[in-house]
Amino acid sequence: MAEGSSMENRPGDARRTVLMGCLGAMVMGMLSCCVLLGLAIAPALDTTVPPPPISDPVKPDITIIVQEAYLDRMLTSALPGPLADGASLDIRGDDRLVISASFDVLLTELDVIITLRMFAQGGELQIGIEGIETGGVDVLDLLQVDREALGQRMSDAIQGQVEAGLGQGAEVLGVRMEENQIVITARWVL
Amino acid sequence: MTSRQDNILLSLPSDRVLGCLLGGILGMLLSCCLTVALLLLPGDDVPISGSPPPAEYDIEAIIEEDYVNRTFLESTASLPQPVPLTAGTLDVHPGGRAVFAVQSEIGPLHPVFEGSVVLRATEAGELEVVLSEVRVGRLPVTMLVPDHLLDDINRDVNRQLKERTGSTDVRLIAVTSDETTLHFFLVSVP
Repeated sequence: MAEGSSMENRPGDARRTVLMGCLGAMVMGMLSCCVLLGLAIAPALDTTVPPPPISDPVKPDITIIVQEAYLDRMLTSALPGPLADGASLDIRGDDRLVISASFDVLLTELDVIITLRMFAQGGELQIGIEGIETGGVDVLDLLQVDREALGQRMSDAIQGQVEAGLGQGAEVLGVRMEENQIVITARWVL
Repeated sequence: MTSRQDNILLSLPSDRVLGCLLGGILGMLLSCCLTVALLLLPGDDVPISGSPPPAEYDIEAIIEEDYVNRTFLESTASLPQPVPLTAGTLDVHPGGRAVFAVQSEIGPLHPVFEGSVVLRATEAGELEVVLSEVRVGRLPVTMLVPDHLLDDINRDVNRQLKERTGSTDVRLIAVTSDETTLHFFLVSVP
């Protein structure tokens, strides 16, 4: 009789077995989930992010390439109608920027050629006026205009644009003229 | 029943123990499968803008990876973060893609979150930063990144872009990159 009762499958036993199975599944499932997730996350806790690189005062942070066609459009849009029609801008490989304009003065067509040089000085973009000529005569000399003062006023205006574009702390490192484009390099002093 | 048979019956585990073991094994297998599936979850399949630079543009701005890394934490500090960041780095890859690693501070833990973003220009001439994936260790957590975080980043980036280009009326038409620099191409708005 004892043997028969121990081997007998009662409904209560079956339910308990299923419950124990479910409990085991839950416990082992949660444990193994935690272990696997821990193993998956572990590499993230064992890594360090390298510190930011040290600023190199010679290396530019930004290089801006401005196309000649764009500057030409800007120039003509800034000039009044009659002047704009005959105005053009030419970027030369010898670091010169030449603006040509022709307009009528008292039934005579006057051609004006403005030669500029752009360079970086003291972290700022500077413009040097090489000449404003008409008919082979330097207008600045003729009118006794202070070349340096005029250049400085133009530099200040350009520098204002650079500061607005690059933000505070920007330092122009260099300017070079390439065929059909101006390349400006700058960095930020943080 | 002989005494030998009694001993065998006593040494066999009961049905409950067997059910518990079986359930435990099943639970472990199930959680293993779930964890593996979770680890193999792919990130968002963001198309990489591996297109060549546009044939016509007015201004190209080339930004160095070193500069981005120097200002990475400062830039992210202004944005609302789900967790405070203590360090961060960005590695630029070709195709407008950048891989980032940020170290956060969660109680005593300093896990490193790694992921990648794609930078691209929208039809509206704005810069869009798209999150490809974020992982902590081997665990993908892209879905846990709040949606508003990327919106905030994009809003802030475009606000800065507008501030910098506001005086020149230009808009972004393309973003490309190589191993160390990001290239932004802009055209003037007629």
